[in-house]
Amino acid sequence: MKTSLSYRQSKARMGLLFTLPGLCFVTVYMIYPLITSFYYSFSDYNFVYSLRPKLNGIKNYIAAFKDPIFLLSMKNTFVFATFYFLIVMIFGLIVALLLFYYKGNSYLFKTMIFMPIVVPLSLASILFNWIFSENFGLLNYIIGSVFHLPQLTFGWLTHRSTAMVAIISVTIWSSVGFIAILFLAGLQSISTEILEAALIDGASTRRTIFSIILPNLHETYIIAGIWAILRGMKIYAPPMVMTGGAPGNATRVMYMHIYDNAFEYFEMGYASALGFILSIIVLFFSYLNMRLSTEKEG
Amino acid sequence: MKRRILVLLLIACVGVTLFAAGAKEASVPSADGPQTLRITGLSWHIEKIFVEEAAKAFMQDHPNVNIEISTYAEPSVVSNYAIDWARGRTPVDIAIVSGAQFAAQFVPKDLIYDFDSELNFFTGEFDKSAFAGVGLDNGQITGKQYVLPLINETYAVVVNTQMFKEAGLVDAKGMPLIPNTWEEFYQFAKKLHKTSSGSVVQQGASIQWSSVNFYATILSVLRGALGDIYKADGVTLNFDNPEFREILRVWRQGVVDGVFTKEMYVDNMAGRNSLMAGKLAMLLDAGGRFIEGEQTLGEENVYVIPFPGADTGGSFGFGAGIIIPKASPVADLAVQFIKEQMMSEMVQTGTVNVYGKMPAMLKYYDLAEAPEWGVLKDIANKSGAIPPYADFARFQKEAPPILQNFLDGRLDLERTISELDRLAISLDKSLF
Repeated sequence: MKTSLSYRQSKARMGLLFTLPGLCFVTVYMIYPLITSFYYSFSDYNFVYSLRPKLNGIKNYIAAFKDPIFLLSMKNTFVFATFYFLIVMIFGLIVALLLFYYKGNSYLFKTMIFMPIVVPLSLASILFNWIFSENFGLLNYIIGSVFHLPQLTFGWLTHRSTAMVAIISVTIWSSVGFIAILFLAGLQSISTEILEAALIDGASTRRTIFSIILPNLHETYIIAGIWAILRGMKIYAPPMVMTGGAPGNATRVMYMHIYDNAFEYFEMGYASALGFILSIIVLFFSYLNMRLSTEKEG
Repeated sequence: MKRRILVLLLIACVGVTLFAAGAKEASVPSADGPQTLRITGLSWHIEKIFVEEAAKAFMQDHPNVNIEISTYAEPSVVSNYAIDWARGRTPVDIAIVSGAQFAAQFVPKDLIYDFDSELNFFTGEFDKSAFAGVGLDNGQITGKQYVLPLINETYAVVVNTQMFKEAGLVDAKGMPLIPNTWEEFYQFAKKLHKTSSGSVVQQGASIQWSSVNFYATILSVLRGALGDIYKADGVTLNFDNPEFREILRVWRQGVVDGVFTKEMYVDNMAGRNSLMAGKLAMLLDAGGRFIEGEQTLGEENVYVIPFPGADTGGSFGFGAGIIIPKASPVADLAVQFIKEQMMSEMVQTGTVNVYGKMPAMLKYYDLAEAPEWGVLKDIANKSGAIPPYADFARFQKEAPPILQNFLDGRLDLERTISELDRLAISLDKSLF
């Protein structure tokens, strides 16, 4: 008995030793910055001009909700995230179902669908910036010169009605493959016996999808949903590269405002508070997504 | 006991990780032995100011010196050096920055050298009188020279002379006419603008209205219109005047008619790309862009003219310069490198003749080859520097959306002026 305990203890110690490097990394690069920035968020601290952070209670948090640019960027982020989340989840699921049912050379299609995710989003944004360019862009060239519909050419990025749509479309293009692969993995994990039973019972494809496949994907909804929420709320590169927040502040998102406050104005205290507000929003929606998916299961 | 050992191990491990994260390779200088000089800049600084060529030449002249060149991604990244510099260490000995607004952040904590009294740079042939005034002004913070100018630029209008000829906008010698008022500028653009089946085939004018550089355009046209950018107090930007109202009115008219493109809102290079592609008649941007236009359209088809008021009131001058951190162990070597190479004829005339960046030192102006330099030199001599606001980045970020909203018709003229005025009043003027 004694031998068994000491064996277990030494195993636990070994386990702890093996996790030590990872633990150190997490402590230094994640926990420590998190605690420090949490402290900064309650401080008046300009990284350049202040000697040290000066505690100011919840002033930064109050200021955030009085900052018209932050409120506008929050609204823009919600608009982006809502459309992005809905479209990428629905479109990702449709693509996954097509790949699941397609019996031909699915590897080719899987590769094609997944390809955009390996292209850095910032690079894709530069490319799409040119495609959407008003006077000499590819899209307007095709519309005007190939289809001979010059009246339909448009300043896709310079008009506030379409700038956000363009940014959403680029982000969806870059990430729908990943969501589709997640859903495909979920689909492939559904027991073939259930699907075969449905087939024997004479269930149509539509009935199989809505009554068997979709209800069995709740775990994938959680993972894909959280990923899409994170991606949607933390959007930065496409609006930064494609529009810089223009026209006006129509495409300015929360991450851009946080970055500017931290690294352009050096207001680390205020930027940290904005960062924590964003984190709380992301956590709330992730929790909501998890609860809704779990309730469906129940 | 064992738990304590594990906790100690964890602390030690965290300590080692922290140390490793913070450790930097230290350069050990010795006047006689091998020395290392580390230079950083934006990639265009390195390329267009011939830093690599200068480094090679310096290493040939001084075999004991090794020069390492690195680049940083974008202007605001320079801020990150403050962390190291505040701790008395540095990964670079010379940093090339795009103006004093990127150096002001290091001054309150005394992290960079002042070229006046601390480095005693301006002696002999490097006396301040040997430098272009606007360049020196752009490097001053609280009256001291913290940024040594390397190159200067100024805003002007780059024109496609072929298009001007076709539109009959040339004088008897075939030189492009100069618009004297903004209304005239608009009329020129209207004449030069061409569409076919609803598509633009030749854009009348493109004005630097990007989120990144709109501030420079504002400062340029303000100075051109008023001869100064400040109110009577000498520190607050002056937007509430009839001249600026007229500029805004014309700009909006041009946008409504489509003769001024809005492409620059989202792409600060859209104008120069259109110019180089031969699709644009007038580009209000950094005047040195004419070199790029000449490379694709031919020297005879591109010229530079002042925008309305610039020939009398001047424009906005800006540029790139050098800062030296106090944490550098080889500050003297850095100064020697600057004097021997960065201010040499090879660098200073190369940058003007190949890339259109005006030299910092006046004696090299006469060695510039293109005739356009005469026009730009005249404008530059009357130009003003960037206002030394401690929070200038706020102006850079907040002014463009206000003006873009005006140009899009979402703000009326009076509201636009009052919002700009409010912004101007709120800026931190403690560094004047």
